[in-house]
Amino acid sequence: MWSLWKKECKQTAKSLIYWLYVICLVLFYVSQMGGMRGRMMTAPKEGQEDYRTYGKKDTASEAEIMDYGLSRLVTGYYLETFDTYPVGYVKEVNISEKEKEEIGEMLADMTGEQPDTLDKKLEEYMMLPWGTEEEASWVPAMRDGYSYEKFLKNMGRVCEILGPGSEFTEAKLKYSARTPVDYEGAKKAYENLVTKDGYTGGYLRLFSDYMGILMGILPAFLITSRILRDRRAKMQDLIFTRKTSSAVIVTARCLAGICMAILPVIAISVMPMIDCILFAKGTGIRLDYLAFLKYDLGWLLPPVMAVTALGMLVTELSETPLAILVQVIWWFASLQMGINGMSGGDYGWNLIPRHNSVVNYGGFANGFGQLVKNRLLYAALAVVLTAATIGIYEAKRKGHFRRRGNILFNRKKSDQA
Amino acid sequence: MLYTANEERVRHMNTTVEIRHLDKYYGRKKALSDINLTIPAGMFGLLGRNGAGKTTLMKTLATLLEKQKGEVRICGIPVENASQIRRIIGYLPQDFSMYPNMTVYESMDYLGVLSGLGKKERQKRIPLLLERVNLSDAQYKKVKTLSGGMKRRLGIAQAILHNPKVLIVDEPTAGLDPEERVRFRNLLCEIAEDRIVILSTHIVGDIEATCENIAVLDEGTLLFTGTVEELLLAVKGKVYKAEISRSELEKLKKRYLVTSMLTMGNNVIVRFLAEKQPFEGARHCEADVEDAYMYLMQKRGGKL
Repeated sequence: MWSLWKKECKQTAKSLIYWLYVICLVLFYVSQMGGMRGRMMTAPKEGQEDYRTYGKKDTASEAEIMDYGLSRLVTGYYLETFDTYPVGYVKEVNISEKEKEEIGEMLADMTGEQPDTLDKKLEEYMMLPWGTEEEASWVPAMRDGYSYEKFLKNMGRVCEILGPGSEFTEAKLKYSARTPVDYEGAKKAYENLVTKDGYTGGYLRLFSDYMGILMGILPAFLITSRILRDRRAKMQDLIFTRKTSSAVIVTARCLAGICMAILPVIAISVMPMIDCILFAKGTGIRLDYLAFLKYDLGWLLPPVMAVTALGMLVTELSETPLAILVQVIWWFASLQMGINGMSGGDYGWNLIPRHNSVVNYGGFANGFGQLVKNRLLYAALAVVLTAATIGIYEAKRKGHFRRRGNILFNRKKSDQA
Repeated sequence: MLYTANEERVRHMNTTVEIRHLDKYYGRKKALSDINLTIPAGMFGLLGRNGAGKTTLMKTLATLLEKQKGEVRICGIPVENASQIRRIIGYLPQDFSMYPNMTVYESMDYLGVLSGLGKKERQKRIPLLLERVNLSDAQYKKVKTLSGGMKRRLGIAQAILHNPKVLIVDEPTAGLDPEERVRFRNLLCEIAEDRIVILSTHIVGDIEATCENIAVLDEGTLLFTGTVEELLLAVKGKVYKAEISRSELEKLKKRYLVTSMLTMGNNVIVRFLAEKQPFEGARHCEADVEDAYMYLMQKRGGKL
């Protein structure tokens, strides 16, 4: 088993696609986190301009949600077009005269303005130069005492008008309306980073967030290319008639695929560790020196396992690069699911859980239990998929599922009798 | 060469392949029909035209296809017991290659691992085998740089890497030049000294030069099984040679099965098969396997 595993690792290391994979990882790291060394998180100072870098508050108040929703609705109403994200990509929805009229009535109701004067006031407000809104004689604002329930009812109707992917759902409004933390919040976020996260934890979480995006797709290319190599090189019959069991062949290949995929990730994850070590030198911060291994193996390994195992199963079954298409669909859906939880904490069952922040330890701590369950699910899924692949591989060794023109059909070539 | 405990056990096994009432279908199409064969140790030739069912039979023996009916035992082990069968067979497919970027040695080493050989065993055995197939000088060459003949020899080396009791070789000489073909046939004969070598081919010359026992397949059924001498006996006294004018050739071809011809100016020397003396001037000549094979095939077609 281990001799074969070593040979499989060596074979992967010698392939061009593997080095393209490594280059992709390096370039992605450099583009997303490469310039961090000079911008490491420091303790907040009271009275500084803002505390955006320390994250956003966990929740937004009803008033903040209503103000945010109103401002977005006003902009779309004025431009007569709204951006929606039905399948991840932006889609412009142009509203009809009738729909504009209906939204105008909603705005008049929410702002307390007369419908016939609203458009004129809005025109003046929107024509103000950027940054001078405060000097305006009128700004769109919710009228006093407007109920949150009524606001949500209006937003629900807007969602119906705009169709799927609207930003006016309650969940999206709640998420987007959150405001940056204040000084106290920033202080707490930094304390958590230094004491509970060992400083490195926050950076490795951000690293995992970025690398998780790649780990949700790239290992599929590695394993698909490896499995198809047997067919391309006409090696299948030579391998199928060997003594080694299907379980050993499949497991060794799967493990080699996983190890070779995670190895450069571990190597690159040393970079943010070095950044942290250099920054913390002489500051007295007690670093978590094992953070990179915890996050590489705990956060990033399970999706590598699941993606590799699924890629192997689909490729063995179809003997085509279909696995890549399947994985692209899964990856894309996962990315879309993660959009509403970018700042972390809301991990759910997503293949690519998001935590696009060095801070928000609170969110991480709250979602940790779910994250563990999530990661265990994908590790277990990988085991199940590998077991299924073993069954398929053994069947292929006996002449089933072998592609001779058509996927899954045992059609015989005329020259093979 | 050293033998492992398992190989010692295999060496003392009953060395025959027994096939009884074997049927194999592809969907509704019957690829093999009621095949009965006993293959003893030594070289065994499986002859038949393209599409006769040779590869299907070879693949069934190599556990690459499952049979529908009948019984197949290799050295006493039922073919259904694939894991046991894989230990004792070596297989060289008709259409094979190896990872093109691996060297000859690396390819052998990779397949050696899959054959369950330990590192020391591989280090000892691979150079010996490469020497045997005359590829020692090419061991560090990449597979993609090898000629067709060298690839075939590498194919044989990988097939006997784990010292199998039964070697199954499918159309091994197709595409080889005459010198490589002779070298390859000799190699197979050497290998067959202490095991069964089943050679499938549609090239009669390969069988004639190497095999004592043969079987002829056509459209999935067994037309003949026995020794080469027995096959020749069937055509004894039925092979004639005659020199005729070119204008008579078409007429002759319509009446008799012409197995070869040589044009000499306006005349043609033809070799043909006939049940009795066809005409004055036609001389008896000694039958070869090709004549016998053609006779057998035509007889099945009802032409003679």
